[in-house]
Amino acid sequence: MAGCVGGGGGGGGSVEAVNDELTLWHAMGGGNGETLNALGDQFQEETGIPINMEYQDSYESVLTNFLGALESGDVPDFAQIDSLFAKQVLDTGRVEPVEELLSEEFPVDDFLPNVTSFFTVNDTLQSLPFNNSNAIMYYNRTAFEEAGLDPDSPPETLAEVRSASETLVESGVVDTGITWPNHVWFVEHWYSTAGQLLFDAENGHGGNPSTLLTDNETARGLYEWWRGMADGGLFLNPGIEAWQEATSAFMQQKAAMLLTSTAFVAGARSGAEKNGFEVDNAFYPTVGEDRVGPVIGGASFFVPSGLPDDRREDIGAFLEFMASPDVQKQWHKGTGYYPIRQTAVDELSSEGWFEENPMFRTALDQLQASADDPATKRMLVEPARQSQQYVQNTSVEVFNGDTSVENGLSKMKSRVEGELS
Amino acid sequence: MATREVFESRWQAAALLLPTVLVSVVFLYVPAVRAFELSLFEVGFGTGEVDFVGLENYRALLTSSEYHLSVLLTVLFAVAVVVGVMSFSLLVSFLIHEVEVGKGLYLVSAIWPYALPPAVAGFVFFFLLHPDLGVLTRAIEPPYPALGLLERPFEALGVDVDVTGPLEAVGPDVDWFSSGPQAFALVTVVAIWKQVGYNVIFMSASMNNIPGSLTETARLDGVGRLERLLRIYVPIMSPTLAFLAIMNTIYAFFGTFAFIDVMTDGGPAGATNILIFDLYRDALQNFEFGTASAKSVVLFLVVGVLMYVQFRVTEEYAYYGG
Repeated sequence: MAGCVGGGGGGGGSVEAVNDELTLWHAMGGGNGETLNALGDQFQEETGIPINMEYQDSYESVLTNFLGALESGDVPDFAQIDSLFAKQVLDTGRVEPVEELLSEEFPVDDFLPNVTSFFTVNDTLQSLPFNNSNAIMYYNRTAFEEAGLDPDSPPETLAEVRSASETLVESGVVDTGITWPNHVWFVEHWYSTAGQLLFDAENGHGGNPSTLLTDNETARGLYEWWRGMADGGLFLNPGIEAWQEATSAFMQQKAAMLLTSTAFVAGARSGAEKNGFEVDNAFYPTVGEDRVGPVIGGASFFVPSGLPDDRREDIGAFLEFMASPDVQKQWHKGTGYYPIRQTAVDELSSEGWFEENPMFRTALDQLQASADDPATKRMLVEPARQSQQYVQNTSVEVFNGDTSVENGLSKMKSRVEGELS
Repeated sequence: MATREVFESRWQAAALLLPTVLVSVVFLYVPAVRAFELSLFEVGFGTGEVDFVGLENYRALLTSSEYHLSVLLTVLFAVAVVVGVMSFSLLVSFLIHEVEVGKGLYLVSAIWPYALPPAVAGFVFFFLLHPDLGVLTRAIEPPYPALGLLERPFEALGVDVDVTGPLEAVGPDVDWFSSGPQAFALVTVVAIWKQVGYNVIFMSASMNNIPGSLTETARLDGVGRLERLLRIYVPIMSPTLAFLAIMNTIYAFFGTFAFIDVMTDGGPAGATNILIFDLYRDALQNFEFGTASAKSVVLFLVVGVLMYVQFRVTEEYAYYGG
């Protein structure tokens, strides 16, 4: 069916761009934001097409503003949408698949398949993956050494994380073993590395899901462990969606291990140096012995449908620029998000970048070692924000001991089911 | 009472009223009607879909145990805040009223927190009492090395007294990221702290209006301090107190949003999910405008009924002189 594209037609009324220049709404603050702005300037210099990079504070704000824009008809040309919210945007039916904006010559098959598989719906690339990451484990080598642990063989499973944490805390090197922000992304990782789907209907990629899958060994194993870690004072709870607090607890050496995004690589290196310890990273610890693969994280660029053809050409030019190997390399080096083009990965390898910066390699290795399994495709559900909050809030009840693991999981399931129905 | 004719022409009066009426209509009445209307629909965001569902949103609220918990929490929170603010402020105002030296300094210090924007106050307490990184947390949680000083004099006398041990055994583990009751207590205390200044301003003004002769008579009759406050001052101050009770109720229901948003995000596990935050999240994070509108209508009714009751009670008991 081809019919969703077309200037001004359909039920949505006419669409107009918010600015004469191209406009991109993004959620990259700090150093990542500066790197992104520099890319915008570079595009402007190379092509003469002006572009506004407009910071919207957070992924949640970009989503709110973009949905509001689609509703009103005054739209930006690009919106950087968190992969968690992809379904909500797709369901509006008011975005144009980016594949239709790229020129014929563009080598679509050079994209890393593990990355584009998430963003491809109905066999069409819907949005351009740009800043993508997965979660890895950072650890404090210095603390490991002081506690008598081998810093060259970091824990690989949750059981090993527990025993390492016990050693670290008992030896008095740190207050707690491990920390990570209470965000659904980490639960998604534990599921996917175990090859376990989180939602039925292939996490939403094979139809509309109707339930959260909690009646399995992965869920029980994860939450028994989590609860035990909290109970034993081995887990530091930084709070819900508290990325910053988790990072600073790790940097201040209150916890010797940290689970967070690969986009933290650059920050981890400089931060550890400042705080006088040696940092390293490793694969995400798994619930059991299986290691299937991580889910994707980060965001992609969506483009509203119904913009005039000459403008669509400029939009296509920018998308191709952002996906070019040179830009991808620059973005990767500046932030730690992995490149999405095979050419970029090959060039970085031959330049010796990964040998000099092994920490930048980990996430990419983890991604490329991943099996092609439906469980590694991140959840694609419409009430993503609600499901996310139910998982996070119920996690607190479980690890805090307010309810049993069994009860907590069935509560989590029925709450999410209520949103899906 | 005869009607007073301040303006000679009706047009003049209407013209002067127009800005207020206009602002109220545009920003208050129209949105209120619109909210009621929206509460009967299921509304999609970005999709333009609008489905009439009648009272379905209200029915869902009636059967949602989470929403019931939120209502209960909000009422508890409001009672705790209003009672806490008013009794503490009354005590502070009374102490300032009684003190001989440095009255101005005390008054300014008491009012100061009121000058802080709520979001800023929220952040200040967030960092002061952060379970892992907070400055005050370290002082509250055991161990208490400073307490060892108390044991020193006994040691010198050769008596073995252990003050530190038992206190450390009962010392709290500050963890309001995980513990619901702690989080609830924290936001309540912060909400009270922030509103004390506002109350002290009015209470001090009202207390200063009490004739000195009355105080003097009470003293001569040998009335104790506390009794003077509760039996003499409070009845005279009752119109002010009634006014403050209403303002504080509105504050507890609507003005405390920033603390929740900044400190707890309604958590952990919904322990601080008060109605105003709950509906904000439904509307602006979950984009469920229909449900959120129904919730705002319910909130409006709850507060409306409370206001009515308070006005009636005030009419009954407040002393307006004459």
